[in-house]
Amino acid sequence: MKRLFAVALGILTAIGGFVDIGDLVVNAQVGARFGMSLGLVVITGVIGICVFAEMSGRVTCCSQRATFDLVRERLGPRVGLLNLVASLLVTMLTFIAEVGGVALALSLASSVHELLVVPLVGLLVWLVLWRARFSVMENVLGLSGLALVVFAVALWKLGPDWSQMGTQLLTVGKPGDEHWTTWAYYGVALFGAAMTPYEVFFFSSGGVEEGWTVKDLAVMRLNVFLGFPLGGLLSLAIAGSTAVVLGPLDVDVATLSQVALPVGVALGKVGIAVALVGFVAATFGAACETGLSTGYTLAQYFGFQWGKFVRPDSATRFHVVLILAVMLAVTVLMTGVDPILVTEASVVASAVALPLTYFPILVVANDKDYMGEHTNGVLANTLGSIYLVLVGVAAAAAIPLLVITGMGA
Amino acid sequence: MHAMRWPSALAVLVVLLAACQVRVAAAPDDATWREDTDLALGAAVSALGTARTVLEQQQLDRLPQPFIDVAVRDLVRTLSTETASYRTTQPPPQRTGDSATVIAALDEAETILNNVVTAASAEDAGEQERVLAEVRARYDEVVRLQERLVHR
Repeated sequence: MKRLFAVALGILTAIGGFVDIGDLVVNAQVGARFGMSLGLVVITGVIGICVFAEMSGRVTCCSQRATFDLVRERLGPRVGLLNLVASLLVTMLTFIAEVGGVALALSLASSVHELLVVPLVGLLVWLVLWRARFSVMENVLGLSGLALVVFAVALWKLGPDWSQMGTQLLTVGKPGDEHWTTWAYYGVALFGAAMTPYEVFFFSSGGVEEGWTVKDLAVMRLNVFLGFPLGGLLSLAIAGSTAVVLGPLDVDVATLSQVALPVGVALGKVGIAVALVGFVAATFGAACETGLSTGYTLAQYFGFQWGKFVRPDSATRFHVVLILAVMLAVTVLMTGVDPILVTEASVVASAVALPLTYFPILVVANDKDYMGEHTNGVLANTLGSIYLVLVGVAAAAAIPLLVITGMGA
Repeated sequence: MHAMRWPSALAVLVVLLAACQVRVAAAPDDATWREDTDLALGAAVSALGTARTVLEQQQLDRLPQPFIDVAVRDLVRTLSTETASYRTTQPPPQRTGDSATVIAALDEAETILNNVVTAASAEDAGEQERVLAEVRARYDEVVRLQERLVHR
């Protein structure tokens, strides 16, 4: 019974924790502009993150070490450093976007300007990173993030033409007045949002925090293969609801209030209240994950003590990195930069960094010294290789598309 | 090894400069003007469409007041940024008149959105109804203007 509860809890937190500010914003933008015509990209991205998260989790279960730690050891300090720089930049950018996202969500709930909320959010994030237990942090925020199911309920209540939506979802097409380059740009952004690099680093480091062993392989796989796809359905629901409400009015989603508006149209004040709880939980949870990931990657590369499974005074450098990351995020946001713009930049930057993140994981997952009998099978290697090609294409196309389309304008 | 790095660095520099060229030094040709106009009028359509939905839902008492306040405030901010950016673009000579029409339409949209901010925070249902009618009318006008200047 206890085991069953642990499995259910893991799956639920994986669903609730799947969506972050990047998924919220980009899915809403894409839904309003392109309907469900980029839905296949979300599905492809979700399969991709499942493939690499499972690989990454398996590495941790077998070696009791985090992926980044092994990447440096297996591929050497040079490749490790390249991986570190790319991942750290993207993770930091994502962290700033998530902290900004929490501020925007709290601002929507209180009507207090987001700049006044940012320092408070920074303080709260730091307190959680410093004091809260890892399992409490993950479970509370992950479960609260399930409030985003309100988007699926809203979509159902809005009563769209399901067959038309299904057709859009399964065919490659775009609205007549949009350019293919813009369509491709948003495709890359969606792919980057679904396969954000920090997710795999956090997943494997979290496994070390929770003391995963080979016995936990089955539970880990259930979390990944059930939780992540169900989280992906939330992304599609967000796109679907903006497609129904904002699409016909030619609204270009540029604010978090526009993301939530379809829920208000469908479900009224209660719907908005639940959506805002979901926004705060999803962005706060992701802020904690990305904040921790900055510390994880640096500590694992340079080899100093890390993690919340040890007392803060035993991992001082790790906690100093967390403090500096929080201060940097707050400082950047206090300049008045639009968190939505930071989010858009972070998902494109994610797409650029994808190969540097995922290639080393594929290498380590094939190493018998670390994995023993649990090295990649034919399926994992085939899918991993296919996805390496896909992330390579996305990475190569991201910057040119960003320039050509003027950031998707 | 070091000699091999210079061509790569040079290639990256050329790509970056070319990218800057695309965005900065574009000549004021008709196609570029239409793109800029599409963007600016699209922003107005987007803001007015959102304001319309917010006001309609407010009349049905389906949105919390803090949410409404922030939503409409954000719309003014977003459109102001687009309008300011559009003012700096130089139209081709044959489009000077059209450009002035677009700027006037954007200014009008901004004024109406400021009225929305005031009406949305007041508890005067009559005023909200009047502003909603204004928003609907302006939305239709901007869509028609966009169709006439950009999409034809």
